[in-house]
Amino acid sequence: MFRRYLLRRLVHVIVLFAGISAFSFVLLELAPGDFLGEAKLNPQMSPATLAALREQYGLNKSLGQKYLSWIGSAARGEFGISFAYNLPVSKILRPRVSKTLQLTLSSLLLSWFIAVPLGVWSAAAHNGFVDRAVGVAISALLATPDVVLACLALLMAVRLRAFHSANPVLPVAVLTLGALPILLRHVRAALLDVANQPFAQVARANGISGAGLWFGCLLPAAVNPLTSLFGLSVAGLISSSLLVEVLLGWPGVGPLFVEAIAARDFYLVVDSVMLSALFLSGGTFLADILLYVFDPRIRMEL
Amino acid sequence: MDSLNSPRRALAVHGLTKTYHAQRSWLSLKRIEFNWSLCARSKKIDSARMSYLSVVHALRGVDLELPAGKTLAIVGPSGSGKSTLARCIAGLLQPTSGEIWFGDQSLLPARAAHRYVQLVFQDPGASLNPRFTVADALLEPLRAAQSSTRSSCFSVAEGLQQVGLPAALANRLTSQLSGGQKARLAVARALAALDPDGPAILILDESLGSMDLCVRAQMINLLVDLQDQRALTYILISHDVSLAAHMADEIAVMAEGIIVKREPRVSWTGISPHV
Amino acid sequence: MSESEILLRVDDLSVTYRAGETYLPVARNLSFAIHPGEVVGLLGESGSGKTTTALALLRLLPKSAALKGRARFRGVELMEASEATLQKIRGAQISFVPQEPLLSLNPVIRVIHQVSAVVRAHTRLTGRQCRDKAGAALEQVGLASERLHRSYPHQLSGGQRQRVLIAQAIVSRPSLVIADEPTGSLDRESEQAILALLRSLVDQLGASLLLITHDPSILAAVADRVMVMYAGRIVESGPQAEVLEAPLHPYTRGLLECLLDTAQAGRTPDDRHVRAIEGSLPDFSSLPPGCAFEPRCQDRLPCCREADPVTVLSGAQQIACFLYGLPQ
Repeated sequence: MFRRYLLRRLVHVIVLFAGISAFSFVLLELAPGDFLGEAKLNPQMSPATLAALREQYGLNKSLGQKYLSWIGSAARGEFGISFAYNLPVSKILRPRVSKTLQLTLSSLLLSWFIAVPLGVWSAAAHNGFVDRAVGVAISALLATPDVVLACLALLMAVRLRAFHSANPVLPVAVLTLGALPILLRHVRAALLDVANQPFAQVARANGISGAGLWFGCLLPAAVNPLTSLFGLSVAGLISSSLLVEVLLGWPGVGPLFVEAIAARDFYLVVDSVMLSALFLSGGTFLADILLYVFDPRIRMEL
Repeated sequence: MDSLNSPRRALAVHGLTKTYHAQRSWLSLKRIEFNWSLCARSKKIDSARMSYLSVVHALRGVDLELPAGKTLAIVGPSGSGKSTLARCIAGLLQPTSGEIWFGDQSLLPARAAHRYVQLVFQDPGASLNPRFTVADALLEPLRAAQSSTRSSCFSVAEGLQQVGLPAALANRLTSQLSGGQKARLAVARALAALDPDGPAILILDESLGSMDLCVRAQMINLLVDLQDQRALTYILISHDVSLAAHMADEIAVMAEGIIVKREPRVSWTGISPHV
Repeated sequence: MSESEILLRVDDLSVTYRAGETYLPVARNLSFAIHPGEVVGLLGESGSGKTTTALALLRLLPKSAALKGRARFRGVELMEASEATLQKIRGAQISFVPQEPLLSLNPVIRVIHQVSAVVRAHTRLTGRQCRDKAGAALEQVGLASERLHRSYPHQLSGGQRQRVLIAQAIVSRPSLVIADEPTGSLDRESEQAILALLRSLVDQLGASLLLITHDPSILAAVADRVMVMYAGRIVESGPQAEVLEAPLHPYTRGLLECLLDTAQAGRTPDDRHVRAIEGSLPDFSSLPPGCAFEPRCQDRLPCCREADPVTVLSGAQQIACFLYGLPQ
């Protein structure tokens, strides 16, 4: 039964990938200019050379042909060629991916590990002092854009002479603080919602209280809405990490992506988009598995 | 008693079946026929495997005839198909096969049934939208049927008066009514949707089950009076045999999707409905 | 039974809800006592304040409810006890069997773990020992198989879920079990089975049972004493046989006449009408100054509109009605 569920989810993911890749191809094609656009302005390049380069890079192919040749290249493990670096894209992306994964995974885990206990505490003591204080902090963080957070962090680190672009602490901290408010709010809301259900009152009537009540009884019942949040939080982290990597100089996929867009490095851009899609799908897939594990009703609805 | 030839309309159900097919995904590999009673008696088929089962026979060929103006009670254990039968007759579910006739009017396809058959649900209060006013709740079925002539002819005050509610309640929110008032409103709503002149069927699906005794007594009196005034036909579905024995002219016992026994009230010996 | 043998003594308990500017006196001046080993029925319609009374004893009402009065349970004053003391009492000495079994069980936790959670809350046993105790309690209520223990609530039938709730209530061997409409959503057969189960369990435990219901026929089988509530007051109480067969208060009489199988004598077989009490429960926000039942009462006296009747003893029964004791 579990295998069937996994299989179904996997099929969804594959279909999703096909869709995203096609979609990004179309979008990029629609965007004006291409890799050799700047070269066109260069008076030292003759039109003949330009045409020859175009032919070589395959920029003259139709959209469908480009897509097919990309798929062929993907099958070979190269995922296209970067025009700027003149290397297969996979070779360029591999080291960068692991760097980005370091950041995203750490902040994902850290933000959830802080949000859940803090959310339980807020809900258990709701409208008390801790809850209100945390609420104010959350609102402040929520109102602050990621850019501002990153710049503030950078400023602080530089002033303290503690900044080093190879140190992951700062980017992880910024990403976590950016993701925390929404998670915390939702965890608190989901728990308060569960706490008003009849079975919560019955648990209290049976004398269950404190940590046993909140972690043993209420949190498992709140998992269902929180798992969808999990998938969304992965998506949020990916887009934030792009920004944070660029601002804090972390050698992940982010800076590469921005460069590639500016240079119209077609395949590099498409592959970076596919990578984000991969992270997102991985996140939602994980969320689906968690949902299956934690909510028995899902298992019945198969 | 040749009910179908009587000048007053009568309900006739022939060979009604309802089969549920679980959602078929192209990844589903097995389809096993399922029989409720077999499951109950066999220890081998446990609930963990139930998700492989994809066919459920809720109704297995129900035949029913009911003369107008009478009350039929349907009793039986849970899972016997009573509610499914009610919903099929009321036009809320499309049966898989079979016929439903009300006099010479066929009640299939399902949409044709609403003018002649209305269903009052269990817990009538919960079937009312709490943000509606009482007047809205009464007019809702008429608006849904998109019958503008009937909407304009319908008088909210009269509708309320019929069930013993004061006309002054028309602008109250339904959430502000008491349990008894909500129950009366549910009946008023059902009556509003029915054809005012013609004979009609009211199906009470466990509606009187969990009510307070005083409210239930008042509702029984109301229903009895309405039946006399408007020649309504009632189908009362209940797991409470004493209620069935009190109100009905005939009692039918259902089990596993078919009617297994049918007796007039006077000869009802009170044997347990669990055959 | 002597004074020292009273398990729960409630004196003048009142619960008032505050909704904005209005005050709703949901329970007014309740006084009763429960003795060890007794089964007391609390009879009343929805809105009469019976569930509120039960929750008030366990102090589980929301903060908007103001409590007044006293409730003494085994030497502990429940209305003044600290939350810590109450947590020790709830589930272990006074336990609660709620209505609506599907909503009252946690949907994502297996049934055995829900019962063992109650054990864990009150003892220092290991996980394995808690589960063993829970298993024993589930067997006691008739759910013996391992497969049932490991089920989730939605996989069980209504009757089975109600049994799980009862297992949760008795696993810590309480002295008082409060059962709130335990058979409300069940069909007749399951109803009888659950009642028999409750009766046998409290006999085994030597505990008392406070059975809250709106259906007098349930009480006929199990209750020793019956208290009738109307609009937040106890209007009549006494031994079960006397209250249900020879009721004194006009409300109790009217209520019992609504029963279908019994009191329809004098009607022709074709007359399906039932004798009913006209009118409905009063609105709590605008209770009349006198007896709350007066507007619907057939036997009203002029003084009923002016003052609230005081409880009068008539034999073993207590009754709050001017018919049985005029004001001085």
